[in-house]
Amino acid sequence: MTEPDEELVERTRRGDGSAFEVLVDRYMKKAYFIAYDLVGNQEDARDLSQVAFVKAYESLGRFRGDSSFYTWFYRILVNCCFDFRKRRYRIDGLTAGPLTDRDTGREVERPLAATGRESDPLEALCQTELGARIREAVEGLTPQQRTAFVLRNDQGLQIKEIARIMRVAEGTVKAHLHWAVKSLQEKLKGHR
Amino acid sequence: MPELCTAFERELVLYHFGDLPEADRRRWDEHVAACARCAEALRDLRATLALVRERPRRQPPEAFWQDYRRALRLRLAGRRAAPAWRRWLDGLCALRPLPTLATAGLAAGALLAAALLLRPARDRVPAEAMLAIEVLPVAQNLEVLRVMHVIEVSEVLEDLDLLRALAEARKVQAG
Repeated sequence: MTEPDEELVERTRRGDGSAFEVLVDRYMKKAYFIAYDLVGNQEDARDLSQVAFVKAYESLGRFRGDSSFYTWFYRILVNCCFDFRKRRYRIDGLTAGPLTDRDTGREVERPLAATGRESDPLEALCQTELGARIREAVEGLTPQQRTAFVLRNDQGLQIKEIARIMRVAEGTVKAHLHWAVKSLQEKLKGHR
Repeated sequence: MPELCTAFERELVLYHFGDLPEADRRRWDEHVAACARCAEALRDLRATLALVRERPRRQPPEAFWQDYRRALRLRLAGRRAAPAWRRWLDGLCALRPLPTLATAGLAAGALLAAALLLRPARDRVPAEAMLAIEVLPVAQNLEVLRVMHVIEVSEVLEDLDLLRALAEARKVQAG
């Protein structure tokens, strides 16, 4: 029988480290994919999702149980990713680094092949024309548009919560969302 | 395109996500029910967004997850072993490449300031001596200060009462 999150949280609080590892096993894939959607590369997604787990572990004493463990952890994760993105773009702006494409001005993903972690058959499976095109369309959104879109469309967060995470007005989130969807519709025209 | 349809198109995304005020939503519910063009636009949008939501993700191989678990276990073990101040500092610097440098710079500055403030009193130069060190070379180069009566007057000028007396004496002389 699967042990509920609440019990695992309690056991972790009592000093049972193995209980937290069960929570890690339960949510690590979800966490990684959310981070990947938000930061757009494997290496940072891996690092940020792990940082979120470490933060959650250290803050477990402050977790009051008002929401589920996953919702609470999820907020930590999204905040980590958003803060990281903001910082990275600030640094990128200062150093004029290679993270943006000079021609299109959009974010350039680090080549996954460089990490040596992808298996070719799986990669090939995902490289179907439509799959690749959708991914490319999402990754081609501006960072702000992508954050607003992923959090609203994929994760189902409310505008209010997204505004809190992105530290912008709700109207700004709505505008990013609107333009993100328009851009996706334009890029995916004729592929439905 | 009718004006109402153009207005709906502007609000279509928020309408789909349910992010419009109740009154607006009801208004558009009625419009979509009556307008084939807008109903089609809504269907189109929903199909696109569902497709995007279910987009295939690059699935890392099992070795990636094993490595992930191992690395995270090490991180957690490291945090358990680290003293509280170190955990706090690490948390502050986590994933901040440039701010880490700034933090290190600030820390170095703070240490230097603390060392200067906390060093033994005998090493410190008194404020008056510092003033003399700065003023003397300037004074030595001022020819005027080599004239004795100017120095005398300068000393006298320090006493405001005498200054006032001198001024009054001059007034009397002039009168």
